[in-house]
Amino acid sequence: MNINKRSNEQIKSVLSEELDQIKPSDELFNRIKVDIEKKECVKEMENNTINFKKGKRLTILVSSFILLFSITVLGVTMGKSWISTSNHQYKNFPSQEKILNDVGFIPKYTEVLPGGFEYFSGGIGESKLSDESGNTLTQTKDVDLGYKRKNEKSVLNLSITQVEEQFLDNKEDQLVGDLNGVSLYYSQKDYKFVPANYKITEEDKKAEEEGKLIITYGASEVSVENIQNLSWYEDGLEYMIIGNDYGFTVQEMIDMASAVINK
Amino acid sequence: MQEKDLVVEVQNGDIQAFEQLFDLYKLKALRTVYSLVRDKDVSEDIVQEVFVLCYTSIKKLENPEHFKTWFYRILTRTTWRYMKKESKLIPVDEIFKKIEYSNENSSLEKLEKKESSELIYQEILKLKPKLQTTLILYYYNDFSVREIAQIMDCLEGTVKSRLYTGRRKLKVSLKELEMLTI
Repeated sequence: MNINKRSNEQIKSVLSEELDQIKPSDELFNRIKVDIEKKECVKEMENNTINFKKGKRLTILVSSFILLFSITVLGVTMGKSWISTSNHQYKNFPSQEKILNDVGFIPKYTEVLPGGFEYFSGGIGESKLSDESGNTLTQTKDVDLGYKRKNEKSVLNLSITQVEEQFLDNKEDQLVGDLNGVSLYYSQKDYKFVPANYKITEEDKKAEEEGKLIITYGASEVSVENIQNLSWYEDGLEYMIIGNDYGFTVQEMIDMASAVINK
Repeated sequence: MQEKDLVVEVQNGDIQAFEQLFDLYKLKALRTVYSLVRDKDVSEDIVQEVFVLCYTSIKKLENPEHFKTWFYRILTRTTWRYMKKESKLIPVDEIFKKIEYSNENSSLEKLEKKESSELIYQEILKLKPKLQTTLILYYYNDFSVREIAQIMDCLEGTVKSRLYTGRRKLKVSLKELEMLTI
């Protein structure tokens, strides 16, 4: 074998030895799919082909996703629409310094929440509130932290947003408590998560008109989930604890809020 | 189904065909990026961005038979952009760590061979990004000189010259390894 041929084979062998052990994570394709849905959703939205439905700004979690923080969230209140995008860059529990560096504020947050929830994954995001004409009313930075119970796929979300109080919308929520002067608001509704190109059925229309269902675009597949939401506003930050199909009592959610507020 | 047929299906919006295409390319794509940025999480993020871009712009690909070079062109450009932005060249420390923690039970000869292999890899990592990319595409992904020229948007002569320069820079380490294998 001549020297050049031998050298070539040595280089090939060294590279194979070093690189063949690298393998993609199982959820990589799901993350790609979610990103694609997000892009298509935003594109359609820019073309005004989506009918926005009632809803508040929620970083909504869909249990069918393994990683949950790349979803575009759409919702409209009184002709205004929120769009949120976020990533899942906090694979480990983030430090305060890291969050401060990323979003410019330090929220209250904990590594565990009552009910056996432990930090799973999180990230930062941005949201934009626009009026009917597409004019931007405000833009926010968000922190989204996900918590899981052992052996469960569902993720509980703690979403924190730096936003002026005038842009909050909790008129339809129920005031369920007061912790150290902080008012807690609760709501629960059925959400139907659908892909960007989903065509609304007559049944959907009827349920929406009756206020029983909220259609939300940006998911990779159709699913209906009951969303419970507990929110409060403290020191210029809106906090929301959001769970899908957990069937929490209000008190269980208040206990979670208490753990964060008393941090 | 042949690769070009899969590409056509993806161009028609078939996400399942896209998943099959992903399965065909995911390993080499991730390892190629990893060879340049040396960070698994970052490599996955780059590969994710590349596949999303691939899906959203695949309709622009006129000839489905050129998918492979088209895909790698996106892959290398996205990786270079990241490297430029982060100025993130390889943490060579990791390689020394690997050498330190080599199996204590290995024979001296095996250990020397392993260290020599690591040395070659380390030398590859020290090369400039374009030189490094050329070597990875040629030796690890088995692309021809012509294909690399298409991916890197340069002349075939430039690719040949980069391969020659790369081999020359690795010469000393390669000789050491050869001495051990004789």
